[in-house]
Amino acid sequence: MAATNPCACGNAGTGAWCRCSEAARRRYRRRLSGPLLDRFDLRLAVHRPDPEALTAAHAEECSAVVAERVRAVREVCLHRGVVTNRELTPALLNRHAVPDRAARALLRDALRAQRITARGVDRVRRVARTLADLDGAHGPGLADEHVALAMHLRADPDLLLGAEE
Amino acid sequence: MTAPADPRRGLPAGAAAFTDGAAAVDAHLTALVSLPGLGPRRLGQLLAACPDPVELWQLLAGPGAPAPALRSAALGPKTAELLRQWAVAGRGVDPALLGDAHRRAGVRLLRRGGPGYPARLADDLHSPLVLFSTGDLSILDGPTVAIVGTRRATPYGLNLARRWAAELTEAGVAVVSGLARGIDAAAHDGALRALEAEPASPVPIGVVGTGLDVVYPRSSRLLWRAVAQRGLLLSEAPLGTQAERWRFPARNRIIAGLADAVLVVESHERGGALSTAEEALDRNRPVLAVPGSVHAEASAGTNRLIQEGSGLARSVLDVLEALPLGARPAAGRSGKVDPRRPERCAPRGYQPSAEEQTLLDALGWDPATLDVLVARLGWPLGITCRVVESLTTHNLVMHRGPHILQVRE
Repeated sequence: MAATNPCACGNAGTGAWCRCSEAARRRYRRRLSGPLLDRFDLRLAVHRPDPEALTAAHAEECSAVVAERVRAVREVCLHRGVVTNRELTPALLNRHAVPDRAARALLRDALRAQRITARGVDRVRRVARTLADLDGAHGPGLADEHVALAMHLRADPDLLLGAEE
Repeated sequence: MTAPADPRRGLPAGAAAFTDGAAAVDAHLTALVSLPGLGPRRLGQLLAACPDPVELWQLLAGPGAPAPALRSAALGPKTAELLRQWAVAGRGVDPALLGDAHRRAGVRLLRRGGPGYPARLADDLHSPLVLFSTGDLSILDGPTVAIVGTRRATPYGLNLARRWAAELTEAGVAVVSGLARGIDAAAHDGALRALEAEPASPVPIGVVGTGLDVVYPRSSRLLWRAVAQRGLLLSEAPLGTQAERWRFPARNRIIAGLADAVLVVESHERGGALSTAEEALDRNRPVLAVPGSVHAEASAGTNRLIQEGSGLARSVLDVLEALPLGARPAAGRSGKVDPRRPERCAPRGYQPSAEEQTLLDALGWDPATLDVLVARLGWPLGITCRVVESLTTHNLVMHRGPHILQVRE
């Protein structure tokens, strides 16, 4: 797990005034190399919460309920011979995480457009496996919606950090 | 280099190298404008006091400089100080060498009233006394539109500038811009792409505030090189001139002077693009602005321009229609945009499916996060993701930080 700011002052892309020059922002982003970032499976932009949402009273799911879902998924993992899906080897992936036709098309398009790397494909499959498990779909196939969500969670770091095109 | 201690330095050492009078005048003008702080206005004031550039150089930087004769030049309260500075700075400058360096670099000097000087600028309000150029000047004989805007542009403005610049180029209109970051760069990029697809299209024109060898900003170097190779580059500053604040507004007046119409794509409440628009209005050139959301800071300036009476541009057709009759491109060129037949606008390459269209409608033209999209559509997260993913593949949406936004390419 790791976190970074979009720039040294932390304001770039947030709507607040960024004090960094474009060159400074680029330097700041370059400190994290592409190959290093490629090894993070979940890459999320955390934006500033809307003050309304932060102070409003509303029901959140209880963490204990979420923990129970996670425990159930780990149970399934044990049947595959691993503790978590992250440990699925290529051989095990081919047995337990096979993208269906539509999901394969998604991966192929993303590879062609260079939105993911070859390393990324296996990592997307592992995350998609977990997402499917959380949805109660434990079969060996992976549906396109789980692969799509896994790819979304693996957002391009450049776009995430607001690099200029 | 070739000038050892020569008591008469300046005049004879250089004069011997000139093949003709015109070359001597060019070289001395180049030397004059290379002096620090000697911009177009002061050059005009100095030439009013002494019309011959060769003689003026002697008075400014020759032996015994500054010559008392120049005291009468109306440079304002700092006259004496400026003259002293220029006399010092001029000691290190050999006009003949400077002229040679420009010739070797393929940089042409255009003198007001001299051959090659753009007719559009000849009777301009503040027409430049000298211009440095590389590339083919004949592009200035055809229709031109300046596309300008903020350096801090949004994806909306960047996409639009790129696409419209390409469409204008396809329609036979040369795109003029300033090679700055943001809108300028996107416009040049779009024009170059259209040129790539159809090599007979008009080439882009870049007007810059630095010397033609000083790429500013550095991040534009690839684009700068491409425009230099394929198009026309113009600057008022000699080689080696670094970026200085005052040079950019001065550059904007040249952009306005060269264009048949000025299109402002995005501008904040205050910004250089608005100065270009003002310069255009001073010259009776049509000014158009692209409207934006009232929430968008990057559209505050353009929205105000429209409120104050600028043309509102919804498409390239609006821009083409704003061109004076004599400056309209010949219809029906290779391009997709035919100015005489608005209905034959460029079709979208990809037809979105029904569910993709539903998502595009829910997204609209303001950026939204995935959570917001899911809430609007009421679809499961995975399905929403899948549709976003396929729209991304077809370049109809893009990601920017946590946001998803609709684009047109």
